[in-house]
Amino acid sequence: MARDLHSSLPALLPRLVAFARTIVNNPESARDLVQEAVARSLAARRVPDDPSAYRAWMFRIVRNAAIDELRRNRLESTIEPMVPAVDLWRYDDAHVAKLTVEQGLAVLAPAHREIIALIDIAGFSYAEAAELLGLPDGTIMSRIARAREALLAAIDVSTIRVLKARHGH
Amino acid sequence: MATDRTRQDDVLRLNALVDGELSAAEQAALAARLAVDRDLARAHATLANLKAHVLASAEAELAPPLPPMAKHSRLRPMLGWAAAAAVVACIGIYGATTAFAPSEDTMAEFPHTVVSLAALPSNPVVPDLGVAGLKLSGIAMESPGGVATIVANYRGPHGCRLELRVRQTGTAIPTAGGTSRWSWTVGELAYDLTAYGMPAARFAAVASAAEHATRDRGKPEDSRRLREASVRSGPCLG
Repeated sequence: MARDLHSSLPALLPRLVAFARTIVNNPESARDLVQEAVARSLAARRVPDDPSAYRAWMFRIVRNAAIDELRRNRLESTIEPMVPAVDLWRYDDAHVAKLTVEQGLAVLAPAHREIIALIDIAGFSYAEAAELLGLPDGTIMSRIARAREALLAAIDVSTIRVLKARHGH
Repeated sequence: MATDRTRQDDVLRLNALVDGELSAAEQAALAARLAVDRDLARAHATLANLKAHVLASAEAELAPPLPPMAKHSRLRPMLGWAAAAAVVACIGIYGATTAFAPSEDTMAEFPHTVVSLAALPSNPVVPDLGVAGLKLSGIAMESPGGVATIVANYRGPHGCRLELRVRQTGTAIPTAGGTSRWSWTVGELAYDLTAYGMPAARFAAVASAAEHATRDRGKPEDSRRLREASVRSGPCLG
Protein backbone atom coordinates (compact mmCIF):
# COMPACT_ATOMS: atom_id res chain seq x y z
CA MET A 1 0.00 0.00 0.00
CA ALA A 2 1.54 3.24 -1.14
CA ARG A 3 -0.24 5.72 1.12
CA ASP A 4 2.49 6.53 3.62
CA LEU A 5 5.57 5.22 1.89
CA HIS A 6 6.89 8.70 1.18
CA SER A 7 6.03 10.15 4.57
CA SER A 8 9.70 10.51 5.52
CA LEU A 9 10.66 12.26 2.30
CA PRO A 10 10.31 15.87 3.51
CA ALA A 11 12.62 15.19 6.43
CA LEU A 12 15.16 13.59 4.11
CA LEU A 13 15.26 16.41 1.58
CA PRO A 14 17.81 18.69 3.27
CA ARG A 15 20.33 15.87 3.58
CA LEU A 16 19.63 14.71 0.05
CA VAL A 17 20.37 18.19 -1.23
CA ALA A 18 23.50 18.48 0.93
CA PHE A 19 24.64 15.06 -0.24
CA ALA A 20 24.07 15.94 -3.88
CA ARG A 21 25.73 19.31 -3.51
CA THR A 22 28.83 17.73 -2.04
CA ILE A 23 29.09 15.24 -4.90
CA VAL A 24 28.39 17.54 -7.84
CA ASN A 25 29.95 20.55 -6.17
CA ASN A 26 27.21 22.84 -7.43
CA PRO A 27 24.25 23.95 -5.29
CA GLU A 28 21.91 24.67 -8.19
CA SER A 29 22.61 21.40 -9.95
CA ALA A 30 22.16 19.63 -6.65
CA ARG A 31 18.71 21.08 -6.11
CA ASP A 32 17.70 20.29 -9.67
CA LEU A 33 18.83 16.71 -9.51
CA VAL A 34 17.21 16.14 -6.13
CA GLN A 35 13.98 17.52 -7.54
CA GLU A 36 14.32 15.14 -10.45
CA ALA A 37 15.06 12.28 -8.10
CA VAL A 38 12.01 13.10 -6.01
CA ALA A 39 9.86 13.12 -9.11
CA ARG A 40 11.26 9.72 -10.07
CA SER A 41 10.65 8.32 -6.63
CA LEU A 42 7.10 9.60 -6.51
CA ALA A 43 6.42 7.98 -9.85
CA ALA A 44 8.04 4.68 -8.93
CA ARG A 45 5.83 1.63 -8.92
CA ARG A 46 7.76 -0.10 -6.16
CA VAL A 47 8.77 1.86 -3.09
CA PRO A 48 10.58 0.34 -0.10
CA ASP A 49 8.26 0.26 2.89
CA ASP A 50 10.98 -0.05 5.50
CA PRO A 51 12.14 3.44 6.58
CA SER A 52 15.86 2.67 6.46
CA ALA A 53 15.48 0.93 3.12
CA TYR A 54 13.49 3.89 1.85
CA ARG A 55 16.24 6.26 2.98
CA ALA A 56 18.92 4.23 1.24
CA TRP A 57 16.73 3.98 -1.85
CA MET A 58 16.30 7.75 -2.02
CA PHE A 59 20.02 8.38 -1.59
CA ARG A 60 20.73 5.80 -4.28
CA ILE A 61 18.41 7.60 -6.67
CA VAL A 62 20.09 10.91 -5.92
CA ARG A 63 23.53 9.33 -6.21
CA ASN A 64 22.69 7.91 -9.62
CA ALA A 65 21.39 11.30 -10.72
CA ALA A 66 24.56 12.93 -9.41
CA ILE A 67 26.76 10.44 -11.27
CA ASP A 68 24.79 11.14 -14.43
CA GLU A 69 25.41 14.82 -13.85
CA LEU A 70 29.13 14.24 -13.40
CA ARG A 71 29.17 12.12 -16.55
CA ARG A 72 27.50 14.87 -18.49
CA ASN A 73 30.24 17.17 -17.32
CA ARG A 74 32.91 14.51 -17.81
CA LEU A 75 33.93 14.73 -14.18
CA GLU A 76 33.16 11.22 -13.09
CA SER A 77 35.94 8.98 -11.94
CA THR A 78 35.22 5.45 -10.83
CA ILE A 79 38.80 4.95 -9.79
CA GLU A 80 39.64 6.06 -6.31
CA PRO A 81 42.47 8.55 -6.70
CA MET A 82 45.82 8.39 -5.01
CA VAL A 83 45.87 10.28 -1.75
CA PRO A 84 48.59 12.83 -1.19
CA ALA A 85 50.71 12.09 1.84
CA VAL A 86 49.55 13.71 5.01
CA ASP A 87 50.98 13.06 8.44
CA LEU A 88 47.91 12.75 10.60
CA TRP A 89 50.07 12.54 13.70
CA ARG A 90 51.69 15.89 13.04
CA TYR A 91 48.84 17.64 11.29
CA ASP A 92 48.14 21.19 12.38
CA ASP A 93 44.36 21.30 12.41
CA ALA A 94 44.25 25.02 13.19
CA HIS A 95 43.35 25.51 9.54
CA VAL A 96 40.43 23.11 9.62
CA ALA A 97 37.47 25.43 9.45
CA LYS A 98 34.20 25.61 7.61
CA LEU A 99 35.64 27.68 4.79
CA THR A 100 38.77 25.60 4.29
CA VAL A 101 36.75 22.39 4.45
CA GLU A 102 34.40 23.72 1.77
CA GLN A 103 37.37 24.63 -0.40
CA GLY A 104 39.00 21.29 0.25
CA LEU A 105 35.87 19.34 -0.61
CA ALA A 106 35.57 21.27 -3.84
CA VAL A 107 38.90 19.97 -5.12
CA LEU A 108 38.52 16.39 -3.94
CA ALA A 109 37.86 13.59 -6.39
CA PRO A 110 34.16 12.68 -6.67
CA ALA A 111 34.74 9.27 -5.08
CA HIS A 112 36.17 10.93 -1.99
CA ARG A 113 33.49 13.58 -1.85
CA GLU A 114 30.89 10.88 -2.13
CA ILE A 115 32.03 8.77 0.79
CA ILE A 116 32.48 11.84 3.00
CA ALA A 117 29.01 13.02 2.08
CA LEU A 118 27.51 9.63 2.84
CA ILE A 119 29.16 9.22 6.22
CA ASP A 120 29.47 12.76 7.56
CA ILE A 121 26.57 14.59 5.94
CA ALA A 122 23.99 11.92 5.25
CA GLY A 123 24.90 10.09 8.45
CA PHE A 124 25.06 6.57 7.07
CA SER A 125 26.80 3.84 9.01
CA TYR A 126 29.60 1.98 7.30
CA ALA A 127 27.30 -0.99 6.75
CA GLU A 128 24.59 1.20 5.22
CA ALA A 129 27.09 2.97 3.00
CA ALA A 130 28.55 -0.37 1.97
CA GLU A 131 25.16 -1.63 0.94
CA LEU A 132 24.34 1.56 -0.89
CA LEU A 133 27.60 1.53 -2.82
CA GLY A 134 27.72 -2.22 -3.26
CA LEU A 135 31.07 -2.51 -1.50
CA PRO A 136 32.38 -4.55 1.45
CA ASP A 137 32.26 -2.86 4.88
CA GLY A 138 36.04 -2.95 5.08
CA THR A 139 36.32 -1.00 1.85
CA ILE A 140 34.12 1.72 3.28
CA MET A 141 36.29 1.88 6.36
CA SER A 142 39.46 2.36 4.36
CA ARG A 143 37.82 4.62 1.80
CA ILE A 144 36.53 7.10 4.35
CA ALA A 145 39.94 7.16 6.01
CA ARG A 146 41.67 7.88 2.71
CA ALA A 147 39.08 10.46 1.75
CA ARG A 148 39.64 12.32 5.00
CA GLU A 149 43.38 12.21 4.50
CA ALA A 150 42.86 13.61 1.05
CA LEU A 151 40.68 16.36 2.47
CA LEU A 152 43.26 17.22 5.09
CA ALA A 153 45.91 17.32 2.38
CA ALA A 154 43.73 19.61 0.27
CA ILE A 155 43.24 21.92 3.22
CA ASP A 156 46.96 21.83 3.89
CA VAL A 157 47.89 23.02 0.41
CA SER A 158 45.07 25.53 0.20
CA THR A 159 46.06 29.15 0.05
CA ILE A 160 43.25 29.96 2.44
CA ARG A 161 44.35 30.39 6.00
CA VAL A 162 42.11 30.77 8.97
CA LEU A 163 42.72 33.88 10.98
CA LYS A 164 42.16 33.43 14.64
CA ALA A 165 39.96 35.99 16.33
CA ARG A 166 41.85 38.33 18.56
CA HIS A 167 40.31 39.53 21.74
CA GLY A 168 41.06 42.22 24.26
CA HIS A 169 42.07 45.08 22.00
CA MET B 1 58.16 3.38 17.16
CA ALA B 2 55.03 2.29 15.50
CA THR B 3 55.32 0.57 12.17
CA ASP B 4 53.56 1.92 9.11
CA ARG B 5 51.18 -0.99 9.29
CA THR B 6 50.26 -0.22 12.86
CA ARG B 7 49.77 3.40 12.02
CA GLN B 8 47.52 2.49 9.13
CA ASP B 9 45.46 0.35 11.47
CA ASP B 10 45.30 3.20 13.93
CA VAL B 11 44.12 5.59 11.23
CA LEU B 12 41.30 3.22 10.40
CA ARG B 13 40.38 2.79 14.06
CA LEU B 14 40.46 6.52 14.74
CA ASN B 15 38.17 7.14 11.79
CA ALA B 16 35.88 4.39 12.97
CA LEU B 17 35.89 5.93 16.45
CA VAL B 18 34.78 9.36 15.26
CA ASP B 19 32.13 7.66 13.14
CA GLY B 20 30.81 5.64 16.08
CA GLU B 21 31.65 2.37 14.37
CA LEU B 22 33.67 0.69 17.12
CA SER B 23 32.28 -1.78 19.59
CA ALA B 24 32.29 -0.88 23.27
CA ALA B 25 35.36 -3.02 23.85
CA GLU B 26 37.23 -1.50 20.94
CA GLN B 27 36.31 1.98 22.11
CA ALA B 28 37.57 1.28 25.59
CA ALA B 29 40.86 -0.10 24.31
CA LEU B 30 41.42 2.86 22.05
CA ALA B 31 40.39 5.34 24.75
CA ALA B 32 43.02 3.88 27.03
CA ARG B 33 45.67 4.48 24.38
CA LEU B 34 44.40 7.98 23.64
CA ALA B 35 44.87 8.85 27.29
CA VAL B 36 48.59 8.17 27.13
CA ASP B 37 49.53 8.67 23.49
CA ARG B 38 49.66 12.36 22.70
CA ASP B 39 50.13 11.90 18.95
CA LEU B 40 47.25 9.49 18.77
CA ALA B 41 45.05 11.92 20.71
CA ARG B 42 46.06 14.73 18.40
CA ALA B 43 45.19 12.69 15.34
CA HIS B 44 41.86 11.79 16.87
CA ALA B 45 41.12 15.46 17.59
CA THR B 46 41.99 16.37 14.01
CA LEU B 47 39.60 13.80 12.59
CA ALA B 48 36.80 14.77 14.97
CA ASN B 49 37.35 18.42 14.11
CA LEU B 50 37.29 17.62 10.41
CA LYS B 51 34.08 15.63 10.69
CA ALA B 52 32.37 18.45 12.57
CA HIS B 53 33.40 21.00 9.97
CA VAL B 54 32.27 18.83 7.06
CA LEU B 55 28.84 18.77 8.63
CA ALA B 56 29.02 22.51 9.19
CA SER B 57 29.89 22.98 5.52
CA ALA B 58 26.49 21.53 4.64
CA GLU B 59 24.53 23.64 7.08
CA ALA B 60 23.16 25.85 4.29
CA GLU B 61 21.33 22.87 2.88
CA LEU B 62 20.52 21.26 6.18
CA ALA B 63 18.90 24.40 7.57
CA PRO B 64 17.83 26.49 4.61
CA PRO B 65 17.02 30.07 5.53
CA LEU B 66 13.63 31.50 4.87
CA PRO B 67 13.57 34.09 2.12
CA PRO B 68 13.62 37.66 3.33
CA MET B 69 10.34 39.50 3.09
CA ALA B 70 10.16 42.50 0.82
CA LYS B 71 10.11 45.68 2.85
CA HIS B 72 6.92 46.98 1.33
CA SER B 73 5.28 43.69 0.68
CA ARG B 74 1.94 42.96 2.24
CA LEU B 75 2.40 39.32 1.41
CA ARG B 76 2.23 37.02 4.34
CA PRO B 77 5.39 34.97 4.64
CA MET B 78 3.80 31.66 3.83
CA LEU B 79 5.74 30.44 0.82
CA GLY B 80 8.05 28.23 2.77
CA TRP B 81 10.85 27.60 0.30
CA ALA B 82 12.90 25.13 2.26
CA ALA B 83 13.18 23.11 -0.93
CA ALA B 84 10.24 20.81 -0.91
CA ALA B 85 10.46 20.35 2.81
CA ALA B 86 7.64 22.75 3.36
CA VAL B 87 5.68 20.67 1.02
CA VAL B 88 2.54 22.59 0.40
CA ALA B 89 2.91 26.14 1.50
CA CYS B 90 0.51 28.92 0.82
CA ILE B 91 0.97 32.36 -0.43
CA GLY B 92 -1.58 34.62 1.12
CA ILE B 93 -1.91 37.04 -1.68
CA TYR B 94 -3.80 39.88 -0.21
CA GLY B 95 -0.70 41.80 -0.84
CA ALA B 96 1.92 40.30 -3.04
CA THR B 97 5.47 39.36 -3.63
CA THR B 98 7.70 42.10 -4.88
CA ALA B 99 6.81 40.99 -8.40
CA PHE B 100 3.41 42.54 -8.07
CA ALA B 101 3.62 44.69 -5.02
CA PRO B 102 6.06 47.33 -6.18
CA SER B 103 7.20 49.97 -3.79
CA GLU B 104 5.61 53.37 -3.90
CA ASP B 105 8.64 54.70 -5.75
CA THR B 106 8.31 52.05 -8.41
CA MET B 107 4.61 52.66 -8.69
CA ALA B 108 5.32 56.30 -9.44
CA GLU B 109 7.39 55.20 -12.41
CA PHE B 110 4.62 52.98 -13.74
CA PRO B 111 1.41 54.95 -13.45
CA HIS B 112 -0.23 52.72 -16.04
CA THR B 113 -0.47 49.88 -13.56
CA VAL B 114 -4.14 49.13 -13.55
CA VAL B 115 -4.42 45.86 -11.67
CA SER B 116 -4.38 45.88 -7.92
CA LEU B 117 -4.52 42.93 -5.63
CA ALA B 118 -7.15 44.81 -3.76
CA ALA B 119 -9.39 43.83 -6.65
CA LEU B 120 -9.35 40.27 -5.36
CA PRO B 121 -10.96 38.88 -2.26
CA SER B 122 -8.43 38.24 0.44
CA ASN B 123 -6.42 35.11 1.02
CA PRO B 124 -5.94 33.52 -2.36
CA VAL B 125 -3.61 30.55 -2.10
CA VAL B 126 -0.92 29.50 -4.51
CA PRO B 127 0.07 25.98 -3.52
CA ASP B 128 3.66 24.81 -3.60
CA LEU B 129 3.73 21.67 -5.76
CA GLY B 130 7.43 21.04 -5.24
CA VAL B 131 6.98 17.56 -3.91
CA ALA B 132 5.31 16.60 -7.17
CA GLY B 133 8.38 17.91 -8.99
CA LEU B 134 6.67 21.11 -10.11
CA LYS B 135 8.59 24.26 -9.33
CA LEU B 136 6.84 27.60 -9.06
CA SER B 137 8.57 29.40 -11.91
CA GLY B 138 6.67 32.67 -12.00
CA ILE B 139 3.79 34.55 -10.53
CA ALA B 140 2.18 37.70 -11.83
CA MET B 141 -0.91 39.84 -11.64
CA GLU B 142 -2.71 40.08 -14.96
CA SER B 143 -6.06 41.29 -16.24
CA PRO B 144 -7.26 39.01 -19.03
CA GLY B 145 -10.56 40.35 -20.25
CA GLY B 146 -10.27 43.11 -17.67
CA VAL B 147 -10.53 40.68 -14.75
CA ALA B 148 -7.90 40.93 -12.02
CA THR B 149 -6.22 37.53 -12.04
CA ILE B 150 -3.26 36.00 -10.30
CA VAL B 151 -1.35 33.84 -12.77
CA ALA B 152 1.14 31.34 -11.33
CA ASN B 153 3.24 29.10 -13.52
CA TYR B 154 4.83 25.82 -12.52
CA ARG B 155 7.43 23.86 -14.41
CA GLY B 156 8.48 20.25 -14.08
CA PRO B 157 11.89 18.75 -14.76
CA HIS B 158 10.83 17.33 -18.13
CA GLY B 159 9.29 20.39 -19.69
CA CYS B 160 5.87 19.90 -18.17
CA ARG B 161 3.99 23.10 -17.40
CA LEU B 162 1.01 24.04 -15.29
CA GLU B 163 -0.72 27.40 -15.05
CA LEU B 164 -2.89 28.39 -12.13
CA ARG B 165 -5.27 31.34 -12.46
CA VAL B 166 -7.02 32.80 -9.45
CA ARG B 167 -9.82 35.36 -9.82
CA GLN B 168 -13.01 36.42 -8.15
CA THR B 169 -15.99 34.12 -8.58
CA GLY B 170 -18.65 35.37 -10.95
CA THR B 171 -16.08 36.83 -13.33
CA ALA B 172 -15.15 35.35 -16.66
CA ILE B 173 -11.80 35.30 -18.38
CA PRO B 174 -10.73 33.98 -21.79
CA THR B 175 -10.10 30.27 -21.71
CA ALA B 176 -6.46 29.28 -21.59
CA GLY B 177 -5.14 26.64 -23.97
CA GLY B 178 -3.56 23.56 -22.53
CA THR B 179 -4.32 19.88 -22.58
CA SER B 180 -6.29 19.50 -19.35
CA ARG B 181 -8.11 21.83 -16.99
CA TRP B 182 -9.36 21.60 -13.41
CA SER B 183 -11.54 24.33 -11.92
CA TRP B 184 -12.90 24.88 -8.45
CA THR B 185 -14.02 27.66 -6.16
CA VAL B 186 -13.15 28.47 -2.58
CA GLY B 187 -15.33 31.14 -1.06
CA GLU B 188 -15.17 34.14 -3.33
CA LEU B 189 -12.23 32.85 -5.33
CA ALA B 190 -12.28 30.83 -8.53
CA TYR B 191 -9.28 28.68 -9.38
CA ASP B 192 -8.41 27.29 -12.82
CA LEU B 193 -5.47 24.95 -13.15
CA THR B 194 -4.39 24.22 -16.72
CA ALA B 195 -1.87 21.61 -17.78
CA TYR B 196 0.32 21.69 -20.84
CA GLY B 197 1.53 18.25 -21.80
CA MET B 198 0.96 16.47 -18.51
CA PRO B 199 -0.58 13.00 -18.65
CA ALA B 200 -4.25 13.27 -17.70
CA ALA B 201 -4.08 10.81 -14.83
CA ARG B 202 -1.21 12.61 -13.19
CA PHE B 203 -2.77 15.97 -13.74
CA ALA B 204 -6.00 14.86 -12.09
CA ALA B 205 -4.08 13.66 -9.07
CA VAL B 206 -1.93 16.78 -8.79
CA ALA B 207 -4.88 19.11 -9.38
CA SER B 208 -6.93 17.36 -6.75
CA ALA B 209 -4.11 17.77 -4.27
CA ALA B 210 -3.70 21.42 -5.25
CA GLU B 211 -7.39 22.00 -4.69
CA HIS B 212 -7.19 20.50 -1.24
CA ALA B 213 -4.24 22.75 -0.51
CA THR B 214 -6.19 25.86 -1.43
CA ARG B 215 -9.09 24.76 0.73
CA ASP B 216 -7.04 23.72 3.72
CA ARG B 217 -4.32 26.35 3.36
CA GLY B 218 -1.34 24.09 3.41
CA LYS B 219 -2.03 21.79 6.31
CA PRO B 220 0.42 18.94 6.75
CA GLU B 221 -2.04 16.42 5.38
CA ASP B 222 -2.05 18.33 2.09
CA SER B 223 1.57 17.48 1.50
CA ARG B 224 0.78 13.86 2.07
CA ARG B 225 -2.08 14.07 -0.38
CA LEU B 226 0.19 15.64 -2.93
CA ARG B 227 2.79 12.95 -2.51
CA GLU B 228 0.19 10.25 -2.65
CA ALA B 229 -1.32 11.82 -5.71
CA SER B 230 2.02 11.74 -7.43
CA VAL B 231 2.70 8.20 -6.35
CA ARG B 232 -0.55 7.02 -7.84
CA SER B 233 0.20 8.56 -11.19
CA GLY B 234 2.84 8.42 -13.87
CA PRO B 235 5.74 10.80 -14.38
CA CYS B 236 5.33 14.03 -16.25
CA LEU B 237 6.63 13.48 -19.74
CA GLY B 238 5.20 16.52 -21.34
